[in-house]
Amino acid sequence: MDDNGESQALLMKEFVSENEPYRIDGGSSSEEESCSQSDGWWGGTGSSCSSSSCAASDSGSGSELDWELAVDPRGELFYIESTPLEKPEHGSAEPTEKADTAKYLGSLHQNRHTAKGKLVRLIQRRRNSKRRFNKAIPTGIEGQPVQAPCEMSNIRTATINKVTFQDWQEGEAREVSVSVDPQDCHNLGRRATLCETLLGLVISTFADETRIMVAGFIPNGQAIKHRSIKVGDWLRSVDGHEVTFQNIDSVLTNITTPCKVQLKLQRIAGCDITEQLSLGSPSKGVQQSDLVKQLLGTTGEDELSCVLRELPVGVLYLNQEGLTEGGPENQGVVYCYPPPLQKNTLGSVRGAFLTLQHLLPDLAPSPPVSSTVLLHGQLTHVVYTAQGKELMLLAVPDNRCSLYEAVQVTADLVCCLQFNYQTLSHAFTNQDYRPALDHFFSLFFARLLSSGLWPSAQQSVFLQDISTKASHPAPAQFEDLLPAAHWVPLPHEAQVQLDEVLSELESNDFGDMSEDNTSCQRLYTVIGTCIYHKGYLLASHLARADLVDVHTFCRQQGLLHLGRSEPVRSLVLWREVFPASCNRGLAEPVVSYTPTSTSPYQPPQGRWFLLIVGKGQEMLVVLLESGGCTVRLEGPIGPDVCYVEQAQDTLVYIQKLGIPAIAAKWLASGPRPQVISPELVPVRRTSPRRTDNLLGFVRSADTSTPSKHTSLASGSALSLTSPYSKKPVEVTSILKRRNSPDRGTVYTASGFSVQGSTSEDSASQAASVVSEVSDEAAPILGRRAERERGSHRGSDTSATPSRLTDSHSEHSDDSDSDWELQRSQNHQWNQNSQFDLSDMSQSLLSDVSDILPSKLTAGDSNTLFHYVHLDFTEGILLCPPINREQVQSERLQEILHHFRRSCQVIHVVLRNAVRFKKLMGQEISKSLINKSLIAIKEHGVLFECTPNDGECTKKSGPFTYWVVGRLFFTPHPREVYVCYHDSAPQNMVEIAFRLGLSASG
Amino acid sequence: MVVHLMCLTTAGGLPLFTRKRGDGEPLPFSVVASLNGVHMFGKSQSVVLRSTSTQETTVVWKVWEDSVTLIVAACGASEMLLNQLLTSVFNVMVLAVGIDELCSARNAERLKRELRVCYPLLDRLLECVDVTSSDRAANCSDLLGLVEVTLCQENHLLQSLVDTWAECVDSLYGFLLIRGRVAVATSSWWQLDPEEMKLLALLVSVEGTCTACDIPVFLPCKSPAVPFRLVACGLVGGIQICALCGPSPPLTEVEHVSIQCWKGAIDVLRAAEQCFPRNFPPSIQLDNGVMGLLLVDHQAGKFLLSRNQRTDAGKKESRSLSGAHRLDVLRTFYHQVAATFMNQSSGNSEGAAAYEQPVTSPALETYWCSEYHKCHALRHGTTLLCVLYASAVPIHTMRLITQRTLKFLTGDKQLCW
Repeated sequence: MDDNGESQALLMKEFVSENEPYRIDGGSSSEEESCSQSDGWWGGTGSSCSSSSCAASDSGSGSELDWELAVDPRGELFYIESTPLEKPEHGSAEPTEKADTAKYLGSLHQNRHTAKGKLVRLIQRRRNSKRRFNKAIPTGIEGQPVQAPCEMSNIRTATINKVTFQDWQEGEAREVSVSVDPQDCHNLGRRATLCETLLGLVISTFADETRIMVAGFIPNGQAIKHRSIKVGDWLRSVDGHEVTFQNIDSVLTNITTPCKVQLKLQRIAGCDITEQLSLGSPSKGVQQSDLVKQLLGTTGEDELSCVLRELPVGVLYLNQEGLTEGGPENQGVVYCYPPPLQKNTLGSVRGAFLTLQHLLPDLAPSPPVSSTVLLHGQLTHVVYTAQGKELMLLAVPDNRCSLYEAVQVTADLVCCLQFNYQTLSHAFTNQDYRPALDHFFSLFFARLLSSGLWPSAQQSVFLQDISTKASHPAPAQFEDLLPAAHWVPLPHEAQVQLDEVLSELESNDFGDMSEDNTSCQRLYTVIGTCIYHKGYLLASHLARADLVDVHTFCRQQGLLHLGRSEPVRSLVLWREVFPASCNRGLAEPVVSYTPTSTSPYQPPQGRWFLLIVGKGQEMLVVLLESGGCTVRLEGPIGPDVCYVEQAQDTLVYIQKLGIPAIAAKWLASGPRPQVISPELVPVRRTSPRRTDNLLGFVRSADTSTPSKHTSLASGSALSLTSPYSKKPVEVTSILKRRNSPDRGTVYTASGFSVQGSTSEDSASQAASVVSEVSDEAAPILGRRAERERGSHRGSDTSATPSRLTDSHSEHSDDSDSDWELQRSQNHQWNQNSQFDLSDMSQSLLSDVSDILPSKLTAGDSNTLFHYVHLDFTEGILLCPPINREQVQSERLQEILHHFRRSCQVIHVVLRNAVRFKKLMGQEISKSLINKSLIAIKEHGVLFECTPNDGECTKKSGPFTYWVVGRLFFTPHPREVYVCYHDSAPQNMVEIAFRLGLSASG
Repeated sequence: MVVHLMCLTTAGGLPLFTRKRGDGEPLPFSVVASLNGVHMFGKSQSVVLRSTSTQETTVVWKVWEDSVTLIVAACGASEMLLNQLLTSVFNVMVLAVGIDELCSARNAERLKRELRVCYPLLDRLLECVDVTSSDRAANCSDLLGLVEVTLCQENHLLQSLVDTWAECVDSLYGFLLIRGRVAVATSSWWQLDPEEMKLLALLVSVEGTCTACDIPVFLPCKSPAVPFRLVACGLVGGIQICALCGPSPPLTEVEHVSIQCWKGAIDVLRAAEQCFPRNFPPSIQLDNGVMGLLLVDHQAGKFLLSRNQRTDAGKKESRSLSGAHRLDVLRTFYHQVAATFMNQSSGNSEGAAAYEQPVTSPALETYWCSEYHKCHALRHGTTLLCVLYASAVPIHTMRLITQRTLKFLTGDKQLCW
């Protein structure tokens, strides 16, 4: 095959390009300019990374689209693939809803062990290749990496004889009528086959290579709507024409007008597969990690709900309308967990709470929030959430969850459910959501009972654990319950890079990804993105309400914990959501979250989708909107391949940029607002060893990378950027929460262009090819720098006027040019990604090392144990990362317990003050707030930490420490909580000042 | 702001009494019955309802001796405070009619009539909970379960007089009240339960202006079934000498003995009375920044509430708080602080109480900064001193002054703290 040979050559070239970036630079820019233009950086990244992974590990490209099989009929997707730790095989699982798909997948995984497992990859590979062909042919560009087909055919010849999917002829045959519209087929991207676009079927063959097997469904396709079509079926005929894998395309191309086609399918391998699977899977051992299994709900929940039934936990959703005297016992109960109602904690006494719900408005101006009851001798809190005529009751034991925590937890839960299902009523009434909710609540309660942590142990151990742990008091919680995301402000340069990458994704300009897309209306608008590293928020472009929603969602789904505890190979989540900023998609403003009445902008009546992709310990969240200018979507919508891949590529790009490394280092060292452990307290001077370590480590890392270019570049970058890193910060803006991404860009920009020039230098040094790309790169960088400077409102004077005007004129000429250049620049990055990106991350890391550890407290030595900076207006909080894996000292645990418990109390007092401030003069006299409690802005508590009997002999004696909370009203209410050793009096205003300073980069 | 107190028989749900403080309609019977019904229903399903709270109102249920159900609903009061109130309310009922009568209430109507005598006392207790009422008289800032004392310079003189008088009336439990506050008492009296001391002192001050009275009382903890006699004689205006006696001596004899004992000490008494409302002698100078203080001894069950009048006189009243409001702030501060950070007493011995507050050491100090004032509380052992400062006083100065003040007040032998 001619094609094959050529693509093989190309593959070689690609492979070479990995190692020798300069040559491909020249090549691509001179010969294949059109390619790089049309490709964009997306294509570049996609191809180069997949080719590299193909070359490196066979399974790379196959796993990329595995998630497509996991999409359920409602279009939802929750797919996690753990990093294989002990075993080289990677497994995957599937959400609970669609059992048959799961079984099929399971069987595939089973097959994998027996070397038949290439099948699924084969399917994927075929699809990939198809797509690539589709793409390559119309553009006619030879440069497109088409390495896949040859590889695939090799695989096929090697393995196809072994693929013996159990096929018996005696399956039942069915006729299914599918409506088909070739004009208005769903846009599946560039590589879709006819069968995929028209019928919505992913097909493959049986062992004989002719008979067509249904391998999967396209999420929003026609076929998925017919439940009688199952994966593994044999597609026998289309409109009476017998079809084979060879002739299917020609049969389908005959369909030119919208019509209904009759598909004849035959069940081949009915229940046998499933039985084998259920028998086989336990013996196969663990492929996914325990946590992932738990999240996906593949482990036994029945046992869990049995255990939960014995404990004072439960949730009920009651409808108060249409109840009759002699109705059945369970009338009015819409939802109940743990089932059944008769054994539920709340089941028999729900009447009492309903009565109270009705009764208390007679006594007090507001409905009840919570009740405290004694249940089997255990103090239990029951929290009410009323939704019109419906009522949700949640019971939690006091020893696991104090009243304050219970109310917070419930608010969190309600927020999450509303985000997922629009309203509580929708969530609980719809029978389809039932299994998902059961799973959700089982996890929720399990977490609650095992002291707020996600279980990672074996199921049986874990169940025992719950019962024992449930009888012990839990440590107090504060930060993890608040509706705010834990933000880790990165060094400024990294933050700017990150913001830029996210902005690029948000610009949503990837029409070039597939040619069929260019003429179409876009599917979604990106209304916000945010990125997490190990469960810590690194950057967010989401509105406050959305950020809170997303964060709550991630927290309740365990994604934050997953990120914190283990790296994943791949995570894809897709579902329709109802963000609070869009009023949950409700026409009537039920929740007055947004000032819709005052704002001239009306949120469009549309639909919203949440896309989360994860890899390693990073997680990228994208909130998409369908409505307004985009295509109107009807029915269940599955994930769109383009968007998912786009997001995945962005994440990969961010990882290549070295952001995770910086974040990890940042988290590990925590040089700014430095906290100390209580063991160090009596030492009057904390030694500056930590900073030395940090510097030393970075240096050794520098020298240990022997690559000439990187060390050279990073060395120069280090020396050049270091003067800038000690930047002066304007005093006026310090108390603002967030560094607007533009502040201080003068230095960032110049530092950046310096980097660019160094890379150029080294490039010309290494190979004297004057590449057009790198030539082009310098002006881009300059222009970009100036653009940033321009946004800095001319405060910068260093830019030469000619350049400024130049860039401005280009700006006004066409806004696209920016993007084009950006893209080609990105393309360049991707082409020689090894070089450029590591260079950049090196320089960013060196930036980290330059920043001196800052200390919040006054006095000679650092006396700070912990701090929390709360900003509800932005929905973020700052606090030192607590390494959960590390065994903390008991002392710190005790201190933190006191800190959090006090913070809960102080928080209530401060919120009271805020609430009071907002009241008008007249309302004050009417309000029922205790007048003595108003206007409190600071609240401090002194505790004594006495050493245990064992350790009192050590040098550290008993000491006292303060827990102080302070409220700041301007510019918007913020709260700062600190915990410090009582050796020097501290001023909270100063502490807050320094905290704001350190957070601003 | 309104506090509703309801008392019903547990067996039949018959209302024994309802009291209300603050403005607002009295609760209709249907609401009272429903509140009781909910609790009864829960109990039949082995779910014992303890409290329910809304944004600002809290309702607390409590069943005593399986015979009396008490329900209280109040705005702005913590659940802990309301629980304390219900304890005190039940103790008042025991004080009036005895435990036997309450437990074996054969005739609810009769019990209802008998309980009528404790209404004035109950109303005084409700005042302790009411935190926002504006029309309150300045002198009823009161804490539940703690008896208010006054520290006079003459206390050591009075002590011997009280001891002698108690011997004369053949009583172990004698105490001297100055304006409703205990100045001195016999050592046995201090051994009584704080709750009993509180109620006895309150009962005498409720009875008010009569020159002599003789009331049968049951002691809720010490002798809930056998009544004592509480005899009280007015000495000079606002000062009463009281004792718990057995069947003898009769009231006339007590009056006679009192005149005998105290006629030589009239001047001392008058001097001691001058201490009010500062409640501690003018010889102790406090810092100008101090606007008021509250000294509490949890173990002895007594407290001292004072406002520093020197600052009243010295400063213009424009920004500083009015006297009553100051005491109110102090009391609120105490409730907040005691409820959250310094409750080491943990006297509530219900089944669930063991779960509350695990191994947490109580706080040593705590403070508030509001825009108008600052509060600082310092705990030393079982003694807690809360001081109200002007807002200009810096925090570290506050700590120093509080420490010094605590030393002054508790160290002075003459004051008999």
